[in-house]
Amino acid sequence: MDTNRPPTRATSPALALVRLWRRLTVVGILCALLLSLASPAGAAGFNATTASANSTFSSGTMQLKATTSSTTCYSTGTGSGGTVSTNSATCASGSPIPSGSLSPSTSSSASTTLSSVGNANAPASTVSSASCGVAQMSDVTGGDTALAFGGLTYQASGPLGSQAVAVDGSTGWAETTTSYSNPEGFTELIWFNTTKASGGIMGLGSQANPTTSTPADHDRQLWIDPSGRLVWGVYDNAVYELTSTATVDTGNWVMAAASVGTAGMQLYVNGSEVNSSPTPTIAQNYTGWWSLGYASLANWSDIPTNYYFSGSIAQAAVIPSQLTAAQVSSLYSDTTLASYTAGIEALSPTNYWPLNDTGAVPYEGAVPNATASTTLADYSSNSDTGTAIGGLTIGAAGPTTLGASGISLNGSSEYVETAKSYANPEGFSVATWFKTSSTTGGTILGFTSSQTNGAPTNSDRTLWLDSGGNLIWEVNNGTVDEVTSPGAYNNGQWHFVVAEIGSSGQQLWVDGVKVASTITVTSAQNYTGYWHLGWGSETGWTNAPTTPYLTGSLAEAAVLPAQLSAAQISLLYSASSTAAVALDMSELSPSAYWPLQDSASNVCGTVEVTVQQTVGTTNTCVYPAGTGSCPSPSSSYLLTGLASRSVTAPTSSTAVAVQITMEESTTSSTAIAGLHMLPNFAFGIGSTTNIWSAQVDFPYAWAEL
Amino acid sequence: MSVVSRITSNKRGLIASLAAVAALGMTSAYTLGGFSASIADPTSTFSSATLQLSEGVGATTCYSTGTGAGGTVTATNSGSCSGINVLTGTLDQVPGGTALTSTITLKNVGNMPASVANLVTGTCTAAAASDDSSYAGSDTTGFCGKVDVTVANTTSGATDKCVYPTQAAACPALSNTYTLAGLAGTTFNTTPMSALAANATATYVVTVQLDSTAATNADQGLTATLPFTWSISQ
Repeated sequence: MDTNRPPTRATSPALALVRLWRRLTVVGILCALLLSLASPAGAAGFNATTASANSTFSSGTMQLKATTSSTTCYSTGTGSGGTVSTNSATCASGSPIPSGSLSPSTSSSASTTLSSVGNANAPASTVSSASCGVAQMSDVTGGDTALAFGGLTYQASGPLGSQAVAVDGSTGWAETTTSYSNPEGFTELIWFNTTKASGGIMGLGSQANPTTSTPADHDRQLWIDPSGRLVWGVYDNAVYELTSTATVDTGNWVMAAASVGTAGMQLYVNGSEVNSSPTPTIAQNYTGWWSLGYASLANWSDIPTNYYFSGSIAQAAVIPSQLTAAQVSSLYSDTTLASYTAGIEALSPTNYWPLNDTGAVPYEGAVPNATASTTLADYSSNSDTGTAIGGLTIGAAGPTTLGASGISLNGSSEYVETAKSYANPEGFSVATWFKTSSTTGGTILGFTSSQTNGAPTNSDRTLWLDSGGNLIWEVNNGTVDEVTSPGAYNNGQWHFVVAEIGSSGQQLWVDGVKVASTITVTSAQNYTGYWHLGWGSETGWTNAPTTPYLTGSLAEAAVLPAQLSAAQISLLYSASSTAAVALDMSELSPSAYWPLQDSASNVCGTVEVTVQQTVGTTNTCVYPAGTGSCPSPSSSYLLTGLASRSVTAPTSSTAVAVQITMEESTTSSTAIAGLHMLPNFAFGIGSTTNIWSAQVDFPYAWAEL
Repeated sequence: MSVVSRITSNKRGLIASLAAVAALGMTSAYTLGGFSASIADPTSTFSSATLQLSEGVGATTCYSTGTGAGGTVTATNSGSCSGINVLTGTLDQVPGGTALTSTITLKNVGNMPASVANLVTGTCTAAAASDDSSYAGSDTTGFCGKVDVTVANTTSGATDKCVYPTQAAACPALSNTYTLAGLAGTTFNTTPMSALAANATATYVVTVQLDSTAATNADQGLTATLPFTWSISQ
């Protein structure tokens, strides 16, 4: 027992109750204080919460499906569904245009069904022929593009793991676009594969397109005789022919090499000399074009009845020297395409056609013997057609990012006139790609009161480069007002320039960036005038170019009836194809739009076309515009005038069928017969308000002329 | 000595006291002796109040108990409303398209007034979103900054109208100045948030639009997610 504890006090029940009450009071206070301290919200004790963790906002998708008679393509390029990125897809198969050979007397049609397969419908849709040319086979060293004719198939299986073109033995062949004056001391190289004892493999004819009639001169020819042996023929006041001992129509790839020069004539098969002669040492003296898959063999001996080769050809080249046996053997010993290509290139070839082309890249330069064109189509609805003046080059190289062509100008006499006059354009933009290395400056675009390049009464709205390469955008607002880029752009590279005037001021943009502007100038001079490309009148103005003509190139030029926003300019600058530019431009309702993708030959201008849409059961003619079904094709409606046309936009519930009908003009030159015309048809959906777009492009679709 | 330690040290006394009270309640009628008169109040109770919040959007209503109307109140008193999407969630929006609105009705369904109302937004995240045909976007960079948003307090009688951007007036027109990126990670706990008396309601309108700067095709098929947390406090 704890003796130190105080003695227990006697306690009455009442007193015990009083003590208990006191203790309970203290405990209650302490409990309240404890609760107060333990409350997480301090004085604000209770709280209630609702949480919406799944709140989301999603952007839609704008997707286009194009279905031809043989294939279905989607704008993602990945089939139905997939990741949306550029939303512009190339359809590698299928064709929205009539297949086969066009006829001058009977039209043919093809239909494509457009469907909106995203969850956001577009308010606008277009069908466009963004460029037009003919299929080419590139010369990777000499730049002498070969053109495809007739029954020719691209990217067939070739030797050394390469690709080849297959020709059908009746209509298919190719011809170079450049002629050569009397090649001497040279070697022809070509791989071929055939099972036919027939056909010309390669030759030089003095006439473009020797299939239409026998050229006056034709030698330097390789062919397969009726016994299946390879023949090499040269003419030097007499016919000289070397023939292989063995047959070559074995169905295996054969490398042929044939030469003539100071060492005489030699014929090699698969790296080994199979025949030779010390004479002749020269060939016939004339100017001609190389043919591949065809040789004009009339008047030669030991010839087949069919001059068209049947089989595949690849790796054709012309070497400007007589190769030695060792050199030929060395080439044949190459076992890979890379080493063979390096071997060919080491021989400094005049021409080297690998023949691995896709057939989808349009050649827009001059076609031998075809009528030259000076027409530069306006793809807007205003038909402000441009005319190439002074012989400027149509079908020159264009911006590489677009895979485009353009026009090149010589800086002294060449420029583009336009057809339509405009009364006092205000609140507008001009846009174009340009390239120059000039140190004397030159005009990109100008607006004068004269349609020609004569001294005008009025001139302003002019865009030029000064001698230092700086861009200047001028308007006359009572005084000559110029804004000048701080940087120079005469660096030989393609640049995209936009110049604007309107309520947002005078602005100059280069490659998507605003480089100069003033808000104080919002209008230009009031007069009626014409647009010019590559020429303007800057007399007396500050930093005027030394010459008003541009030395350089232009592509994708347009006049747009509003000041473009930064987003719109960025969209145009970032377009990755001519078809994409055409779609973007169409959505901006241009006053004039000259893609400058025209063909120098009058190839596409001789093809008559109509475009008809069907929505439900209602037919509407899109080109030429009209109600009901389209009229029969005629010379009034040519492919070069189609440009970009609006069609009813498909929705998620309603598809739109687009029927393209073509017919060859009766005035078409025989020189273009058989060429593979590439109109580069594209279908798009989009709108100016949301800028999104979806596109399906058919660059591989071709029709034979 | 702290209050807590004092309580601990008196634990024995406290237990004794509570036991005595209990014993008194049971035996007093018999132990105070002599004449007595008494009145018993066997139904006397003391109850704490409840502070409860409901959030309604359209036909969907969530409760802070997380169990629907009524139910047991736990310590967290926080309900997760997976069925509510205040940003509308549709998959067909185009740049500069029609603005979408979502009206959120908050109600204090408890029986005590709240003195504070809070809106807390979380982190905005962007991701590719497949549509019905399995098309999905590819570039989520900056997407939260391309969704314009305002949050308005449309409660009848609310003096200050716009929660985001906070201003003593109706919300401005949608623009790229005010986006989900700007709204994210923010706490709004003063006016124009409306504190709620018991059984009172407040309405907020969230307005969203895909900004016209979402102009490239890579802006298609994307989703921005931003958690919204509403709360009221005593």
